[in-house]
Amino acid sequence: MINFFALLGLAETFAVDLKQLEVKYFNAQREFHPDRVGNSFEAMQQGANLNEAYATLKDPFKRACHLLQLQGIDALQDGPNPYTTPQLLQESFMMREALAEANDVSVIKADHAMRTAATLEKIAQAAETQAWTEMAQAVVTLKFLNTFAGEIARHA
Amino acid sequence: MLDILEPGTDNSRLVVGIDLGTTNSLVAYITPQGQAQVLADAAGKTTLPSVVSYRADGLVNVGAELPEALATIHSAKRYMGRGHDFTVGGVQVSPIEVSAHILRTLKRRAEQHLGQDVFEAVITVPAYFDDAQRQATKDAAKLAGLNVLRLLPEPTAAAVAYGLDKKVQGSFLVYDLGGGTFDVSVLKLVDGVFQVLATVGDTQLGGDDIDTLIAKQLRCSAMVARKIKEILTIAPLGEVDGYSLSREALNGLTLPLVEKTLNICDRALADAGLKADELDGVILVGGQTRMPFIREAVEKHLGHKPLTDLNPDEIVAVGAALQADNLTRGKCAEFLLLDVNPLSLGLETMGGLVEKIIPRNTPIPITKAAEFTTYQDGQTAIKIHVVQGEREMVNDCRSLATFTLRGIPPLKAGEAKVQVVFALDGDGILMVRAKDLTTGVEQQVEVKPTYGVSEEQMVQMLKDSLTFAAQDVQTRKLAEARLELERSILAAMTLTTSLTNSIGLRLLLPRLWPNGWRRCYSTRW
Repeated sequence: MINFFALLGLAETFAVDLKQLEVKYFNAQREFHPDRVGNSFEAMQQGANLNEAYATLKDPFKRACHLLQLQGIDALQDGPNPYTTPQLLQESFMMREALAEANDVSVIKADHAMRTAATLEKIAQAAETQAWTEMAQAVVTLKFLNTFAGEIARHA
Repeated sequence: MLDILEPGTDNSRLVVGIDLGTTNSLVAYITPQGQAQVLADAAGKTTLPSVVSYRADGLVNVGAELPEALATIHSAKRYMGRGHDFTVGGVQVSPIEVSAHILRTLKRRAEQHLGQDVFEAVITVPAYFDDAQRQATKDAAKLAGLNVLRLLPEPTAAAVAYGLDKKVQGSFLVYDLGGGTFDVSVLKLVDGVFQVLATVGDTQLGGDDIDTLIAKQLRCSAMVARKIKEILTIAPLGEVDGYSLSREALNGLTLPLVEKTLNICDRALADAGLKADELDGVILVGGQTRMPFIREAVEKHLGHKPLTDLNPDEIVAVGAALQADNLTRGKCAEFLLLDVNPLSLGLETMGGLVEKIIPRNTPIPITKAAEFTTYQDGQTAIKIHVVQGEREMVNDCRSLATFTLRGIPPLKAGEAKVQVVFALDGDGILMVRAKDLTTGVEQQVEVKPTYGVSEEQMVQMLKDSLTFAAQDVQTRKLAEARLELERSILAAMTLTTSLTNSIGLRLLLPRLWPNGWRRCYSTRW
């Protein structure tokens, strides 16, 4: 697996300065883009890797998953997922019920935004202290919240 | 270490920019002094109407309809990569061949201006062109003797022209309404990097449709409709050949079409993750954006006064020329374009469903690996169907190609594992590599484009075009001979009338041109 942080010359942390990420990405593209080095399959692969690195590190959810993967943790594995907590199952059940009964979706939306912010905060803290299990659990929660955002949009 | 490129010395690498439009086509290049120049014909006109006219004697004219034409083809671009052929005097002519005629004319125009052969070009395509349409454009270029250095999306070309000419920075939306296609691209311009964030469009929506609406309303020809439309751009009332329409009525007719384009703008913004008020500007491209109603609607909807200070007809060709020049500089390039794939790429799965492997608006180049296995014991081949589009069912998407993976070792069902790497290159064209994971051997992939042109067909078309080229020379010689003859006849007639009326022209002429007379008679001039 490619270490996208290393590929773009960034420190392996969850906290990423998006402006700096963009500068690093653009610089790498200036160096390695097929337009600059010729249109071989290898150059294309390199360009593709840079694009994937940028897309992964730009998005907090994908970035968190990648950080965990670098620790050998697959937070989103199929089948029985050890990082899905009973608490998340219970909360997701209640949130879906609330959405089904809601007349005013804005309340649900506000609650969703608050939970997302709190979860991102939890991921950042866990990453800082290298508490990988907690971080993986928070990533599963964020995955649910992303799915739930779609359900809210369809409900409205 | 510095690569020092002396301007104007690298004559072997002269690359032009070509805007191959539905209605008009143009060619531009960058002078050794770094100036963009759109090349004009002998009459000083830069736009070449994308019209190809065929005559029974084999004469083909680009730019205007010939008198006594067998067939005249307009808007061939709308049929590129669609598996549709035109019929010219009982002969099938593909839109690729029609486009090749236009490209050849532009190539010749460039060669006359620059005094040297031109072999390479950057050609623009609608951003929303799919793989088959892009491939068809490349085939047309090949047929015209041009190597395509890059297929450049038209809105990106326009943004490049603006970005470099006006030194603008920030996020921009390009609204490109041409004769037959509509594109919206959202781009970010930072320090010489043009990053396309999203592209949405409709390859079957353009100014031609407005002409059709007017023609239907007034029961007039498309030609009259277009003239009325053009008058209404500057006047409140348009009247041609007894047909008349007010600007207000035209606006009413155009409204549904304009609303459709504004919806596409919203989708592009959503895909780019931007709101209209976060944009730094809106750029209008394409002749159709001259229409005041469209300008007003775009301004009102997006809340930005559109930038229109560069000629909307020429800006795409200028952008293509800038990128052409840029691409020849390698590491010393002035700017870099980061583009996206406009349509999702998917594979057919059981029950005619589509599994997306590369979602739309993914930056290119992109590679994606997928694993395949067999479903029968001893199966040695797997057929894969690639489609392009946003819909869930295969039948609603555009079929792109089928691949057959062969030489798989005969194993139990599900045991063989083949890894297929799908790659979209910088032109947005698909390439495929396959590897047998059990043996590590690279697999052969047979690519069968659904609408493309096979290598044999290409060879045949090239042969035909060479014959055509020979014919072209003969036709031109014949035309010149005719002209010469006409002049002589005129002179002879003046002479004969001044002699005596009893000597008929027919009696005189064969004596003067024993062979010429018969020849020009038989070809019915």
